[in-house]
Amino acid sequence: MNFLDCLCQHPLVISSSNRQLHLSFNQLKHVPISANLVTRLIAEQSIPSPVALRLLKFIRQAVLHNRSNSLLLQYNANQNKTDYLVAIYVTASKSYRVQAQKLDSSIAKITVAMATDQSCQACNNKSVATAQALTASTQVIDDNEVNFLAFHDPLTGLPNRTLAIDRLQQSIINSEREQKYYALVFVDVDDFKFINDSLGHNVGDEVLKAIANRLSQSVRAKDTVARLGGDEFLVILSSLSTSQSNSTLHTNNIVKKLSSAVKQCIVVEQHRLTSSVSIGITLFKGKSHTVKSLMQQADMAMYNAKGALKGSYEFFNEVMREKLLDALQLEQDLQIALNQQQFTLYFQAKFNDGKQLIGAEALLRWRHPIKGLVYPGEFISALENSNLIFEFGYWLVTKACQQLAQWQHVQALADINLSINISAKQFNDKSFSDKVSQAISQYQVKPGTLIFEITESLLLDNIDKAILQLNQLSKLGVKFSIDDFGTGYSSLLYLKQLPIHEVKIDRSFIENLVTDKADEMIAKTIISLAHNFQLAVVAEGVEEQEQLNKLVELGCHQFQGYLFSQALPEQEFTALATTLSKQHTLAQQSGIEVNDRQKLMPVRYILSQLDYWIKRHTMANITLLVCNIKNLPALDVGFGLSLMESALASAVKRISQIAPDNALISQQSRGCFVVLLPPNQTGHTPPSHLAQHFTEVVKRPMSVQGVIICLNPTVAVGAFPDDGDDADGVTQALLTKVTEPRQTSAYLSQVHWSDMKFVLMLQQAFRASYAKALPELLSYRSSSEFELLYQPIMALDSNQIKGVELSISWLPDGARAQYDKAMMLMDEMHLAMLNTLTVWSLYQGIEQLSHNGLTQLTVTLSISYEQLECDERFGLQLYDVIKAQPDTAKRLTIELTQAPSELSQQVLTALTKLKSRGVKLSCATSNPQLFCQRLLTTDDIYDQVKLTINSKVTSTVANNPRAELDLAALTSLSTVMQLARVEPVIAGVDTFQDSAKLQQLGIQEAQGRGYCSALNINRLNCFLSQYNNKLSRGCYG
Amino acid sequence: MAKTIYTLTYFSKSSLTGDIESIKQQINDILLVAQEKNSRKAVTGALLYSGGYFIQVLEGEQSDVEEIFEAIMCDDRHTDITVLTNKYLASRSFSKWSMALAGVQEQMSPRLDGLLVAPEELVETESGVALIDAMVELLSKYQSLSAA
Repeated sequence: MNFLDCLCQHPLVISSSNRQLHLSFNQLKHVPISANLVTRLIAEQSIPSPVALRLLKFIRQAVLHNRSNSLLLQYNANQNKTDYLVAIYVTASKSYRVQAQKLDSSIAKITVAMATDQSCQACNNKSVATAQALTASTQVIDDNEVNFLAFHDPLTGLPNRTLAIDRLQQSIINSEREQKYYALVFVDVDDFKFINDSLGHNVGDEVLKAIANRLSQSVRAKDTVARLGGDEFLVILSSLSTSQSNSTLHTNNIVKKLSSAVKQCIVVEQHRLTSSVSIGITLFKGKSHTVKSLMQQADMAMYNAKGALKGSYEFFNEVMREKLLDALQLEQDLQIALNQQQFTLYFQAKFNDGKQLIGAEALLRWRHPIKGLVYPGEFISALENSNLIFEFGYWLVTKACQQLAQWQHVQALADINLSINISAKQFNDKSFSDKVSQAISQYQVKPGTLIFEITESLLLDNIDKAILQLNQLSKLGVKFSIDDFGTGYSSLLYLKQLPIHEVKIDRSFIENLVTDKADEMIAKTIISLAHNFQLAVVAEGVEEQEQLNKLVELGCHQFQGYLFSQALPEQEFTALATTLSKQHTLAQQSGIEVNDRQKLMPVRYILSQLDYWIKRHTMANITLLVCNIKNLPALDVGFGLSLMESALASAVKRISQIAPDNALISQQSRGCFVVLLPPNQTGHTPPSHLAQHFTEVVKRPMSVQGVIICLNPTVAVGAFPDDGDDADGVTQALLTKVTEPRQTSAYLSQVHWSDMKFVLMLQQAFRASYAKALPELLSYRSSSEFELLYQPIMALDSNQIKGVELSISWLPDGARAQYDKAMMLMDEMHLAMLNTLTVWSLYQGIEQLSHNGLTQLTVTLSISYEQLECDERFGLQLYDVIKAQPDTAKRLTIELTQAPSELSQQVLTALTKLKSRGVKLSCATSNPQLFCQRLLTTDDIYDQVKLTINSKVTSTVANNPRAELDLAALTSLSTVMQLARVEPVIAGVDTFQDSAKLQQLGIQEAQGRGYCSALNINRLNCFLSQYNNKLSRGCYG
Repeated sequence: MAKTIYTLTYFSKSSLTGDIESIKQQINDILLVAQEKNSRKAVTGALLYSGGYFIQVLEGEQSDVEEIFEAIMCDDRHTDITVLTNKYLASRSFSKWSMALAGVQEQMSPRLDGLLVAPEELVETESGVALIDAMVELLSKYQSLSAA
């Protein structure tokens, strides 16, 4: 029976005659009373008043730190309108402390006496033989005593936290005035919990009293000893000395005295106890210190002491200061992360036992500009301990609602639910539920689709704040899930009292579920408990098929874990959901096979599986194969897009047929496939054979639309990864191998992971450089890590240098390195870096050119479509730079590379905005035919097109077969350009002699090594003056 | 008459192993599966095993032929595939057989040997026609032999 029910049936009977209170606690002994009950009663029955809150705080302290059971009631004692607030806390099984307080702020001190059941007239439940009643007498006390109670700890009589903080504040001021050092000393009783748990709370209380007494006696009269709560004390040593060393010495002596005083034997109820305290000290002088920082310092020193040796003490030192500064830095970074939207969500799918996707848990990731992707373990507690948690909470809820709204448009995701992890601290904010309500209505979130996951221990600590809000939110359609169920102190009481819909079995019970009988019992209990309370139950961290089988057997029907999928970024998650949903639908319709295209998985999914396998199965036969079909663009040019697409479809088919059944296949980019073979214990094909086989089969002739063609694949295989490898790294390394332009061999056999380390090192070096240069990049200053290069662009009619194209060169440690190669390993992180670099290069470029008096030159800035697509702010940043330089805008050409035929709305908006400032837009392409078609059929926004050619236009076909293609492409290009009024620019011109030919074709501008390579600003200056000199002398007539 | 029949001829190196009897058995298995598949798609043709090589002619609707050809391309029982001819014809040459067996010979037929010396010539229409003629001839011989 729970206590509330008990109260309802047998109301707490209180009668008052004169100053006598009669309290009957029916069945009190059998009822677990805990902090949440106290607050629940408050919440339901009382009006908070300053006095009541103070009392409540006092009781909560008692409950939380002394583990005594308390309850607080407000009641109308008699008819003369005097409301009493009664606090009862049970410190041990037989002694109740009762404190009553009139709401008019006079305090009634109550003496407690035990009474028999019979003395309570109103108690009519005779069946309860053990019922007890208390008789309490009250006496009104004066204001001084009220103050004393408000600022002192009732157990020890020492100043409480409030007073201690006030004194500390005062001490800071005094230290400034006196120019003397003061010391803040944190004292924490070692193993107090053990004393309390083993000998009972009354013994514990006596120990605390004794320690308080000894501490007070060991310090000087002008010092303060206070109890912060629980087993924590604080000592302020006043006016030590003007010299730091003397103060340290002095403090040392006092602390030694404190420490040894506590170590003396304490006798309580025949128990001879030895106790010890761990002490942290920080010295301070002057107003630059704050209460908060001093408390943090002393606290940190105390934890260091306790960690090193219980009963020892330590001064706050430089190492700790650094740690503390790190913590403060982290807090600042978190604020920036929030402001700059550096947080992002990954989604881990939840499945039912039919392997259907039913929901997702949103997992937080921090895209740190320097550290890369940071997991919540590294920052979540800092976030929770700062006030940022509130702002963050709204961000999270809004983001989740937004996501749910977006998924409404994706068939596979329209019905799924989304869980987010809500810190119980959120409930400290009274407006939380209002804000959630706002987000829910703004995004029209369907009831029941948004789930808040709450950690049970945190819920317990904040239950008072949580309970009202939980109910309010529940009415809005929010569901609640208890995270990590079974690890904390969840009581059955919650399951009944709180609006909870789901519990999650913690991964720690799943890990050894199959082998450990105890874990199985726990899982079984949680599942049946959940069933009894009609709650959904989700198992977390399901990694093996055996675990899944066991869970199904135990009656669990919802799962989450690597067996199904890792957490994925939004796009990949959506892709996975869509793939799975199609497969599921098709599998249900008998007779229809899942077709090959639908077998393709999102690349991120494969990589996350690989990552996981590498971690779990060291030295296992994991094979990753990358197959790049190189001649697709040639097929496109030679036979048209439709034939190329059909050929690609056949390639997909061949690859899925030759890959083993359990292989995961994905298409990384058009014609580039990633195939992952799971760890395989038996019958493993050697990787080199596999590569050979793939190459052989994909190369076989193919009849497409009546045309016989052969695909030209390059295959790279990696196998037997080391422990330290990661999926992204090895895949990128393989991709680099197969996409190398000069890689002509049909296949590369086994690639050793160690080879790939080079690529990873390059990536790391680049990140390091970037981190080093970041302050300069962000403030648009020149950097020692990166240099700007300018490649001159020729005006063919006049042979004048018309403008320059900007590019970035990477100079780690002063030497030019493979910037392109480092940037080739493109991921979102790299894109973000590239964006910063690009904005910097534009600003720097304009600056350097004008500084050198080269304002007549046009400036071309090349950006990739991905850059604009990945980050909305990138376009805006470019816009801002351009807006600040109105003269340059008209000379600026933005060159878009890798643009698809249809631009996304975001990119289109960004480009239109840039064009509105007079910027020209160019499209860089290597496939002029497709581009021409597009120009003629769609309403494009380009002013210019840049074609990169690979050969000397004038060389004969016999010498260079490519030349013919280039020439043909150029001819058609220039015709179409004239029709579409788009200026063509030719890049990659290797000889100066090509100019004439280009001019014949109607081309006005060209660039390439034939004219000049990319140069830094100094060399550009030299080149320009020499060139103009020669030009004026008629050398290029 | 409109040329609606797409025909494709390839030759490839066999990966089948065993003595001639076991190879005959394996080829029979291939044929059974092929005949079943082809008849669903209205694809006809002939298969010849000759001296460790396969020569196969496929004919039918272009999309059907291409689909069946793709399936053959994924088959591990042969390698080194070369397409000898592909063209549109007015009529089928093997209309009666979803997949006829034109023979299983341990040695390469002299007539084919001559043709296959320079496969690139087969792209020329005349040689291509010559190959099909040769196949038809071999087929009728083989069919009458096995009937007898």
